[in-house]
Amino acid sequence: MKVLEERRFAVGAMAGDQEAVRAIWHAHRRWVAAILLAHKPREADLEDLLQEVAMTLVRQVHTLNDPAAVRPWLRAVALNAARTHGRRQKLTRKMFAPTGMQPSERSEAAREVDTGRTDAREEGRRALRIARGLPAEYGEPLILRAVRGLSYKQIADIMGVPVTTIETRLARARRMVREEMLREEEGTTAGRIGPPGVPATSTDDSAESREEPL
Amino acid sequence: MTNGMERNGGLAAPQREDVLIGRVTDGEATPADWAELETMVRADTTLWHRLAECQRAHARFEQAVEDEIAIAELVEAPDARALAKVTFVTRVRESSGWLVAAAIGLAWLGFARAPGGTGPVGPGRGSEAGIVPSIASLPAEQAFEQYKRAGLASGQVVAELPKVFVEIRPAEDGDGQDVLFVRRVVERVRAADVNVLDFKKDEHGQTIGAESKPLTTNGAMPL
Repeated sequence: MKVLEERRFAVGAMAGDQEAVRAIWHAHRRWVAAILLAHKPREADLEDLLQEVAMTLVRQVHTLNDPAAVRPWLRAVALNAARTHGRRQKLTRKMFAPTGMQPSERSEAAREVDTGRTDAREEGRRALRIARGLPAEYGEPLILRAVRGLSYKQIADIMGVPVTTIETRLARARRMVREEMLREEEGTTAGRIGPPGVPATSTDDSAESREEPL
Repeated sequence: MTNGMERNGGLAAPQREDVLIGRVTDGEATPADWAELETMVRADTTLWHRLAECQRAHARFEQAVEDEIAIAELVEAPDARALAKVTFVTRVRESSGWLVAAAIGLAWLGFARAPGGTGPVGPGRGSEAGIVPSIASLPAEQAFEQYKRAGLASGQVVAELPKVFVEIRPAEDGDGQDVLFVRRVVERVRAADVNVLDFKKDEHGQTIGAESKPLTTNGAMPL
């Protein structure tokens, strides 16, 4: 969707035009899914979260004041959906499984490394799993960049940071994923992933840290 | 310079070639970026290999992400009006419980069947007119689907809520299991006046009687 067209639909959606709301959703839902993928807890269902974001869009898009703010606003909605789910999941884990990785998660990771599968699709999935374990400021732009058609500029607009920051984070993120994959292949147990000098945070920790303003 | 990262005030900064390889991989490289990369490659030919590796890894990563987010294409934005109706039903259920909702329903049934009642909205009068005659000869499942379609078209049916599981029990003929569930369809009628049942309870919470009262609202949230 071109910028002018996007603005026109945003203005229409803010005025209550349901066709415009649908057009906005169609234009943005794939990268919204990527944001959710980057931030959601592993057990959360992506489709459920997408429906939650779509419902918030329909219910609240009229509260926007600036048609140019649709992308960052949608990102905030997606982050809140993922984080709210994260808090619920974390509470459940505290009650029923007090330590570490979920059994299914651990066996999946171990199986991938143990069997040494080199199939291209498996390699991509493994890289995605590692990317989802990166600190959010690195994992999110990396996953967004994998959504076909999203440029550095668009990712920067969505995340509200300069293009140069996106470039830097992408370069770091790619190196972190590459190094972690090597570590896994060498059979070493990786700790929490993060760049030198940057404290690593897990998705679930960040889920509790703050709520995005809508 | 250490293993692809430069230290910058305690935070590792990516090397220039990492940024350039990233731009090429992502289709963001300018002619100047290409020229700079080619200059670097003259000094270190392994950069071509690194570029190829990065492109290969990105293609695989991109495919994995696309596989995951493909579900987004199937998720549609709900219609605002339908959403408001479902929200209304949920609020009624959550704030008042099924008892009051059922009481409203009973009160309406009495009203709708009374002489002078305006009955359901849309063409015909509920399932006795307009819908049943055309589906009487269909199997139950198809008849139900047709009822919903016709109801949605006329405005009588608002939405179908998720089924409520009741139980699984052995089939009487011994062949498999019977799964019992409740189907919930939200219907709409337009009424000039509605009475609700006001349940009287004793100090133990036991219902001791009910009184029919006219519902008086300004149309906002009647319950």
